[in-house]
Amino acid sequence: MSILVNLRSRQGFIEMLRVFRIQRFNPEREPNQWVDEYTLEVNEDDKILDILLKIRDEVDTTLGFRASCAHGVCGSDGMMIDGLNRLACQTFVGDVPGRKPINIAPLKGVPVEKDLIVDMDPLLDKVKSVNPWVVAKEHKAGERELLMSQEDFEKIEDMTKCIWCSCCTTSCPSLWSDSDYLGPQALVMAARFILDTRNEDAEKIIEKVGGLDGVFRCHTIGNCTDACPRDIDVTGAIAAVKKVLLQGIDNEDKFSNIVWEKGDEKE
Amino acid sequence: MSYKKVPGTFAWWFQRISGSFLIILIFIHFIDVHFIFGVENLEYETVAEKWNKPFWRIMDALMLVFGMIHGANGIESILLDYKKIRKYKAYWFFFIRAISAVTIIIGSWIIVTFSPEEGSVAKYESPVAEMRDESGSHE
Ligand code: SF4
Ligand code: SF4
Ligand code: FES
Repeated sequence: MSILVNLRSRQGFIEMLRVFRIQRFNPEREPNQWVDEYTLEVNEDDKILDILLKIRDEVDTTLGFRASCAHGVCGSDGMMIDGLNRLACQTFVGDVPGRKPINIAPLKGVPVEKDLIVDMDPLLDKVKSVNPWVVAKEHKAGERELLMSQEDFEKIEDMTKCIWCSCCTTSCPSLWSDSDYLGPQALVMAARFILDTRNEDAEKIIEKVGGLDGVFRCHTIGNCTDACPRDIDVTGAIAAVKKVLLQGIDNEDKFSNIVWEKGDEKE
Repeated sequence: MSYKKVPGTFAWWFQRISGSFLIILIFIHFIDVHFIFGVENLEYETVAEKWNKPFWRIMDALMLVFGMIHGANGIESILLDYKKIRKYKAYWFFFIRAISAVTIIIGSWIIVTFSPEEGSVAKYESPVAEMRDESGSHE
């Protein structure tokens, strides 16, 4: 299919014709994926998401994709744009230089449900499987507040920015060869909660990431760091997990920095 | 507290350490063979003479052991990446480890026991040298 549409005309911006090659899939129509071509008049600073919306609203209403916030916060529109995993709402037409066609495909390594929509469940199950939460065994809820020193927080601050878009995991060659590999997204979460000084059950996470499908399937290829829209040092976080496996965490030292704050002490 | 007991941690750690060692060993070997010795002098006599010094025997033994274990370890880690192969992990690992063990044993046995008999170095005619002399390209 090839259709010409005028996306928008604004003064002061150079408009140009660009071809968008979108990988389609609809199991009700045919069992294999196919590629549709759309030619649109666009500006350099149009987001890929704008273009997908335009195509769906005015050209081809059958195009399927996920998006929600359009501001790089919800992590729902990860896709492969010009061969790289990116958020459609954070990528501009001008990011693909020249005049060549822009290829848009769903994330790799997970089942495609329709067009650009993939099944995220296996990826989110992986994140859940590493117990990404704080467990406070000795301290009951409401009794005390668990605080962290600024210094300790800075160590994990980078990893707390993850928006669960899975761009990293689906860009990882290790996942493509082993669909059970935990993947960088789950490992970032693991690193974040292993290094979290308030977590008293880091052992459980360590057990999980040390398995055959765990951290040692990572060969520091670094695709994940390149893909991350939040600029998280993903490979660095995985390296931190490997370091913990090698050297262990000093539990006494770990809890020495916790600031205990009792309700009555405040008065 | 350490988690070295987690399978794979030691293999991963050893791979980094042996890799760094190999870079140094192979660098020395490369400089020695290519620039100090010269490739054109690489014949039985020169190597036999080189092995008169225990330093070079130790160097070559280290290179053999680290190279073989590093390589075998690397192949094992590649095989582990494939889920289908992982099922037969035990057989594959036995095969790889047996080959590297045999290679290391034969290699180090030669390195340890090698001693050119009195005069045998001189008697030995290098086929490479002969070929060179015949073709006259040596000049
Ligand atoms: S650094 Fe590790 S997790 Fe990231 S893409 Fe490479 S192999 Fe995958
Ligand atoms: S680490 Fe980055 S790429 Fe991976 S899920 Fe989180 S935000 Fe997305
Ligand atoms: S639409 Fe929410 S991150 Fe792109």
